[in-house]
Amino acid sequence: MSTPGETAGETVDSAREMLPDNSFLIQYPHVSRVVRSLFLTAFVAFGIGAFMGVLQALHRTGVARLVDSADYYTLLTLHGVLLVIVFTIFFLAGVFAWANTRSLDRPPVSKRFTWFWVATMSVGTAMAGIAILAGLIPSTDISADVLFTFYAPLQAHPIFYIGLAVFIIGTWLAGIDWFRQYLAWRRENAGERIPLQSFMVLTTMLMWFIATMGVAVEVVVFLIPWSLGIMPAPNPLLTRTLFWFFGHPVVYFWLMPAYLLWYTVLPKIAGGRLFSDPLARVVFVLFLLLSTPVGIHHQYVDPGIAEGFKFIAMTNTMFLLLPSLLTAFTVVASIEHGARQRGGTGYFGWLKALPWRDPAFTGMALAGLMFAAGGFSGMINAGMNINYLVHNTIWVPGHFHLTVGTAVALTFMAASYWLVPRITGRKLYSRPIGLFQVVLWFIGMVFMSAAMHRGGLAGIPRRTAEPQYPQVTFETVAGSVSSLRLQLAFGGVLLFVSALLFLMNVGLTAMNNKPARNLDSALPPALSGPDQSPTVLDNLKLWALIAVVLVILAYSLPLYSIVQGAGLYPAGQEASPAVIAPLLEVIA
Amino acid sequence: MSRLSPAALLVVGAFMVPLFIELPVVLSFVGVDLPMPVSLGMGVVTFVLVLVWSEVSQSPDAADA
Amino acid sequence: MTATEAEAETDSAVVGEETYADGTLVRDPDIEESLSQDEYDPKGTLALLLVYFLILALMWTYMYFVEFLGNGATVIG
Repeated sequence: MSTPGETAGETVDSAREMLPDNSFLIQYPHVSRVVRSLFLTAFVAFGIGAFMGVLQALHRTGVARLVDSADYYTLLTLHGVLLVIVFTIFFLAGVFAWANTRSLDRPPVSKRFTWFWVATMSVGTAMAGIAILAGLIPSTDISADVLFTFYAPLQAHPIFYIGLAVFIIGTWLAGIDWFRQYLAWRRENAGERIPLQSFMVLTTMLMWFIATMGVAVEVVVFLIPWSLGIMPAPNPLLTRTLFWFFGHPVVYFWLMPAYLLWYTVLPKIAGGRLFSDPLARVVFVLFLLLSTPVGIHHQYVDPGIAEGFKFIAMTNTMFLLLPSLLTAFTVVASIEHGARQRGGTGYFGWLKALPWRDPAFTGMALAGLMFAAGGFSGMINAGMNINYLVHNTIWVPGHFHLTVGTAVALTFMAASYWLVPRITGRKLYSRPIGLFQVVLWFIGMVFMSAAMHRGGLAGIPRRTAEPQYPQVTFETVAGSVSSLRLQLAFGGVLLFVSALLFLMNVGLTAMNNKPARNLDSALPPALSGPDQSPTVLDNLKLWALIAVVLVILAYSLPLYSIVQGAGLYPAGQEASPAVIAPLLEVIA
Repeated sequence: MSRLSPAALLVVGAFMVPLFIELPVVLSFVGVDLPMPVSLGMGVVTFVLVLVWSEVSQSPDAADA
Repeated sequence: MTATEAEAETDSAVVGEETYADGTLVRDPDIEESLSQDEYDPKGTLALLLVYFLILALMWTYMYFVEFLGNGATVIG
């Protein structure tokens, strides 16, 4: 039953004999290896990024300062880039490679091409990572302490920007690979509806192609020539706007794979079926249309952008709540269907009939619950006037640790408990540890995120190594600032322990000699199937075209006025090298 | 015999954490000043009570206790 | 819909004694009833979402009192 050429070891071979013929690992050993390779990179990045996270939580709260405050920003850059670029995108590439292959029921067109984009993404990641890490070694003049938000005037070493560009190209190639796989399927299945998971992969990648245009122009046209010394410093507002052109839709690039798992895997784990396939398609189409023309809502306090453009971005952002609220209904209804099939009754009693002992279920359910809370703080961020209360405060990290830090990251961890046995053929090392780990993540995040939100309302700044000022007293609504600091640090430590438990559990699973058995890759069909939805939903060209038009409408005038205002290369712009010591002297 | 499995206790305990973290804020809204450590302490006590209730052997009379 | 998705409707999706075959709960073996779309009324979902919207409304009210009445006017433009 084993396939020649697989190098995963004897135990997997013996395990394979116990797997049914329709197991993903048996049908697609090559794709399984691609997914394993992507997950490995993702989890290594997750481990390092999580360690940087706990160092920051202890540092900024003053509980334990293990590094120099000037190095805080190197750690912060590493934390941001490794977790939201490397961990999320490598993991989602693995999920997409699995989902596209599984739902189209055919392998990618070319093995060589698949490994080519995996290698491209990996090389880009290594270059950017080396540039950041070199910032910790003073004897090199390489550094990239520009944070995840890499726009001018902060400047990084060219190797960082080139690495980013190579990485982005790798993701494009991945998208092309999945589209080729789909087109090959389409040739044999003319007139069929696109299978749901593949539809989700394709719409997400279309969104990503549009969104990354902004960052590609920013990096290739402005930042790389500038960092190489060929061109003068670009207009900071222009690079900020181009960054946020990509910087908001990238959050949906993280979120949509989590949605894919919630829509297609979670109902199965809950023992039910997806409530509505058409509704799921509508949600992904809405994300394709609305993810990109909203980036200016990150720039509500930027003085160079007219209020009217900000207002349009706010309106678009509020429309983006719609697909998330649709998701809340569809996913909860699908879970409830599972609970009722398992004998659940009543308005709330059905919750007891859910498989809470399963870490994959509990993790995703807690992630969804956290996302509901993150939805509220997101509405605060999105409101132009209320945003002024929380802008650049630690409220904002509080918000995105609920969304990308829990809704996405915890869903990915929970899904790993389900997916890793399916791509390795090995039994999950420990289910109770998995359950404890996902619950610990939830508890840690409640402590950390609640303290961050509250600290932000009190005016505590984000991205600050030492937010303690003798002249300033932060006033909180309830409790003291010192208690908030302790809660933040405590939550950060719990999260780090949870991350370690996760990595240990997955690592031991990958080395587990016990074979996984009966891995059924089939997913139950939706209660309301695709045949009940209009076929126009599958018209990807139409939606991509409308998405492009919306982006042009939202961005052409603001970009025009920015370039008209200060030009592409305003005189007197200077790069900010990552030397923070003089700044600290000024504050002191 | 336990009424709640370890997994159920874990999940119930997890859901109590946000409740007791937000309690002081909700109370401050109506003018009651409850220190955060007291609120978290109340949470621990409540969880211990749930634990005791769960571990007390189940009988028809004790079910409502 | 692919062939694999169609197959899942059969009993092969229910794993019997191998509930934790892959280390996670694949499907509870004692599922006997299968609930069709017509028989299923997601009233529990409605109840949960109403609770969520109630919380949202209360938090908005809270924002108004704590943040707007507690701070000076915000000038836009």
